[in-house]
Amino acid sequence: MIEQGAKFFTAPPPTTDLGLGGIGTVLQGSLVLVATALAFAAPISVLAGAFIAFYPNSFTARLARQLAEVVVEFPTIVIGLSVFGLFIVDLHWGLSALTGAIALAVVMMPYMTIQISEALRVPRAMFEETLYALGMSRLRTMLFVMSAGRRGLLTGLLIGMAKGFGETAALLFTVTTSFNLFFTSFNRPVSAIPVLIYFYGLAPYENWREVAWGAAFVLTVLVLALFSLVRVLARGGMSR
Amino acid sequence: MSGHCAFRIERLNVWLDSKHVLNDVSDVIIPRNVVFSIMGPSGSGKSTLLKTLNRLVETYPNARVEGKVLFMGEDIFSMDPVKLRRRVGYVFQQPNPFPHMSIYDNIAYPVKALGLAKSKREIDDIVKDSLMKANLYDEVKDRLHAKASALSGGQQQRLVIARALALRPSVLLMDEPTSMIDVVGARKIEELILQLKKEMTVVVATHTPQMARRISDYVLFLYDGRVVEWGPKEVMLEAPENDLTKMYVAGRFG
Repeated sequence: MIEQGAKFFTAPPPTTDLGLGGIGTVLQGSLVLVATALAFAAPISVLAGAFIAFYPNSFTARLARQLAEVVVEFPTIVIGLSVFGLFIVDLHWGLSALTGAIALAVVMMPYMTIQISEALRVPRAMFEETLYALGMSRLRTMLFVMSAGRRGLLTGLLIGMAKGFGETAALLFTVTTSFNLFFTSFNRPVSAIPVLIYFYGLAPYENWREVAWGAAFVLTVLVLALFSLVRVLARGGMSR
Repeated sequence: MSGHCAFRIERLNVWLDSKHVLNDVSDVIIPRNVVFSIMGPSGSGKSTLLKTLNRLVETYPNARVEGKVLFMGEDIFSMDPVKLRRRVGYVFQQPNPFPHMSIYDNIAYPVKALGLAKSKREIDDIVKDSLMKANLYDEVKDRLHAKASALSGGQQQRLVIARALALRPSVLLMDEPTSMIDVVGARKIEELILQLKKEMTVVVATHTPQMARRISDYVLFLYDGRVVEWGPKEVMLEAPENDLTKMYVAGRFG
């Protein structure tokens, strides 16, 4: 990685020939996958988290919370296989950035939902009755609570992203192991850093294994950076 | 007749879960521009009665309400509760400003959110006017943009009163507004209550006959969810009919 310098982040990984190449394709793939998964999962998680925080005793909220807690503990390889079975085998969507992102979204969603519902619990308890007493509508009350708890909301999204970057098993079925493909469109396959680490780390070629270690380092830094951001946000408490 | 009073309550029953919190509260008339105290020991249903008057109790998932309450002659249960609460302000026992907002924003936020003012100038005026009415302006005018959490308990409670006044309510409900405040702060709030009745009706829940004596025109004695009796302060505190009221006023229990 040090040998390659900046090229490590842009070049495709080496094939069987010599030379080191880089992780350009999988880094881009991971970014596309996590961003797309976030676009699917974030709105659902925010709504579900808010619903659980506001109607904690309702049947739907209890069900949603139970479901999230179960899926969090679920083996992600089963999620990968299920997405593969449903979207790729049954619906013939093929390996694509989209199916990969769907699998990731399913993995990320429960983490984000639980975190967001917890983050909104305190501001809801603090402000809900006050806001109602001031003649605020239910919707406005919810928006106020979300705005007061927005650091916690953001934390939830970051935790989901960190989970998404590191997730491997759910992607094994839904991304390509042709690691030299750059992202071109959502219905074309991409690959991801952790999948590359798995395949290259076990390879019989020295240069592949070096790339795998380099990729592992990049992934670690990425996830650590996200969690540092989470810690900074958590320390700030409630925001204006 | 009912149009001339702020509230008229008939056959009001409230349950929280299976607990019968208010038991057939009837024939209670709260006149306009008076201070009306709801006096009773803790657990007697004072807060629930207040929260029924602005329909806040109905936001509790376990609450059930039956009966009739007229506000300015209009049945509150056929009104939009959100609109009712803008006309019937509420001050909680525990001062509850938005701690993460400035003093200014604590008042400006609901004014803006409810569309009560159009220009920045208008909002500024309402903020200043409300703080003055709550006898707080002089103490905070140089630090309007400081966090509300930096104020003392008594100041926070007056800020909350100012926030309620900014909506220009015709009734202000106050749930033991001085019980969490030091003596000096409490006296300022009592003085404020007496000022406010010139412009609106103030309904105050209190558990002390002393406070009821200092501020009220009318006193209602609530015990175990039932109205024992109510009437002008002089009658209620000097010559009540009911023995239970006599004992409570004399400080024999409660």
